[in-house]
Amino acid sequence: MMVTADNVSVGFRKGLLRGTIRALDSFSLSVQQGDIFALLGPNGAGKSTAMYCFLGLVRPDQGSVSLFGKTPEPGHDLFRDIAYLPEEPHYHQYLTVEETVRFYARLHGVTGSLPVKKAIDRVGLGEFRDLRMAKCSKGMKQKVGIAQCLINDPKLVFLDEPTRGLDPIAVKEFRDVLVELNKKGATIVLNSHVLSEIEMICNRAAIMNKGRVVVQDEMARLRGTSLEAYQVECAPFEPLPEFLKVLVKTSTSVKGEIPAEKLDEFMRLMVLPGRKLIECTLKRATLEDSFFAVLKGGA
Amino acid sequence: MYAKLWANIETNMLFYRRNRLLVAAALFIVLVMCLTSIPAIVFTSKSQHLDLIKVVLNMVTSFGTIVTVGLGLMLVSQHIRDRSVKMIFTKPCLPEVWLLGSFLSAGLVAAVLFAGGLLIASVLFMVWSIPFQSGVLFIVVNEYFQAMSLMAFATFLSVVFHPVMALFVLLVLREGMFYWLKVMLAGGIKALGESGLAVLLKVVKFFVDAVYMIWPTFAPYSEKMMKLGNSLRGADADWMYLGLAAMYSIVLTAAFYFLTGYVLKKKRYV
Repeated sequence: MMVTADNVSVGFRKGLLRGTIRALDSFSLSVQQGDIFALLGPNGAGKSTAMYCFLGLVRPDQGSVSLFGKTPEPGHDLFRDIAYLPEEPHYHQYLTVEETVRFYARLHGVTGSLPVKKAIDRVGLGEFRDLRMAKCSKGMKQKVGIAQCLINDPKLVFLDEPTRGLDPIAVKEFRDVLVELNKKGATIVLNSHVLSEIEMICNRAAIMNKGRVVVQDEMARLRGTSLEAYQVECAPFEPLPEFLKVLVKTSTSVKGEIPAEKLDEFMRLMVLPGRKLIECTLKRATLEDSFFAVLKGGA
Repeated sequence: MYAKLWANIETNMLFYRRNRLLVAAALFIVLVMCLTSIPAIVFTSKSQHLDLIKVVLNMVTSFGTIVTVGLGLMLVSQHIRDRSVKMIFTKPCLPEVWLLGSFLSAGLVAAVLFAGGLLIASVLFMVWSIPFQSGVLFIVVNEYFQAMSLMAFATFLSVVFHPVMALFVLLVLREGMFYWLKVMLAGGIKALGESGLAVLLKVVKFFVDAVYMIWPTFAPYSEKMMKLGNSLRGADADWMYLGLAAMYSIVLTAAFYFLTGYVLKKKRYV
C-alpha cells in the first residue's frame, strides 16, 4: 500500500471552553500503487484534514497514517518522492514564478535551471516567469503549483482541489499532466468537488461524510451503487405505462425515464401498431448520482 | 542539507529586500536618525565630537537591535500565518533546517547593520581626527550578540503566540519587571506580617521568583558596560567578559532555536 490511514481521529479545539470539532472520526483508507484515487465529500467532510494527515502537517489524535510504510513527519526525507498541490496558493508571495519553482526544486535537491524551465514551460507559464507571485492570478498560481509538482518526478502526488481557478483549456492540460504522471508510475490522491472530472480520470474513490469514509471502492463499482435507467422519447399514446416516469409531455412526444428492468416490457408496448419510438438511450448512473445516494444513506 | 539551508537563506534575503513593510520601517528609522544626528554632527564644537560618536553609535546599535528583533518576530510567523510553511514542510526540508536558515539570514542582516555602525563610528573618528577607540568594537560585538539572542526569543514567542502578543511579551514582561515585582511582593509580605493575605502573597512570590529565575536576561554584564559606554576606551573594556557575554548569548540563542524547532514540529498546519 502506498497510502494508509488506520482508524484516524482528529479533533480541533473551537476555543478555550467551547469544546472540540471532530474533523476525522475513525477514518480508514488505503491507496494502492498506481491508483488515481479521489476523496469526495461535502464541505466539512474532512477531505483536506485527511490530506494534511497524510502529509504530516496534522498529527492524528488517534490512529496511524503511513506513506510508503513510514509515518509522515514535516520535512521528512520521504517527501523526496512526493508532490503536493495545496488547495489555496500558499506560496512565498514576494518570489517570482521562476524563483518559486526553483526554490522548491532546490528543497527537493534538484539543481540546474533546465528542469525548472521545463516545468514552467510545461504548464504554459514561460512568458510569466519573471512575474511576482503576489501579482499572479489564481489560475496562474495554480499552474505554478502544478509546475512544482512536476519538478521531482514524484511517485506519490497529493492534489487538493487541483483544478480550482483553472480555465477549461488548462483543466484539460492538467488532466493530461496527471495521466502522464500516472503512466510514469505515480500514484495520485486528489480531492475535488468537480465530480465529472474525477469520474473521467480516477480509478478509485472514497466518499467521506462527517469525518468518516462512507464508501471506498473502484470507480466503476461506485457508479453502480445507483440503479441504471433508460431515457426514452416516443409519440404520445394512451394509456402510458405506470413505470414510465414522464419528464416532458407535448402533443408530439413524451420524454421520460424507465427503470432498466422494465426495458423489455416497454419495448413490447412500442412494437404495437400506432406506436412510435423516437429515442431510447441508456442513462448510466453517474458518480454524482452515487455521491448523492451515498450521502443520503442510500448506498 | 547545506544546499537546502542556502536555498532558504537566499529566499529569506529576497523576503527582506522585497518586504515593503520592513523596508519602510528601516527607512523611517534611518530618516529619524538622520534628522536628529546630522544637525548635531554639523553644528557641534570639537569638544563634543566624542560624545556625538557615542550618541550615533548608540542610535545605530539600537536600530540594529530593533531591526533584528523585528526580523525574528516577522519571518517565521509570517510564513506560518500565510501558510507558505506547508509548502516547505511537504518537501524533504526539516523544520530545523528551515529555522536555521531564518536564524542565519537574520544574523547576516544584523551583522551588516552592526558592521555599518562600526564603520560609521570609524569614519567619524577619522573625519574628526580622533584616535580610534577600540571600545567601539567591544560595544558593537556585545550589542550584536544581545540582538541575536533577543531575535531568537522573539522568534520563539512569535511561534507560540500571535506576533502582536509576542511583541507585548517582549516589551512588557522583562527581567527587570519581575525583579521589581519580587521586591514589591517581599515588601508586602513583610508589612502584612502573619495575616492570611501574606500567605497568598508568599505563594504569588514563589511563582514570581520561579519566573524570574527562568526568564532570560539579554544583557548579562550590563554593569560592566557602563564605564566603557561613557569612555569608549579599549583600556576600559574587559574582553573576557565580552567572550562570556557572547557565549551566554549563543547558548540562549541555541536554546530558543531548539525550543522553536520543537514547537514547529508539534504544531498543526491547517
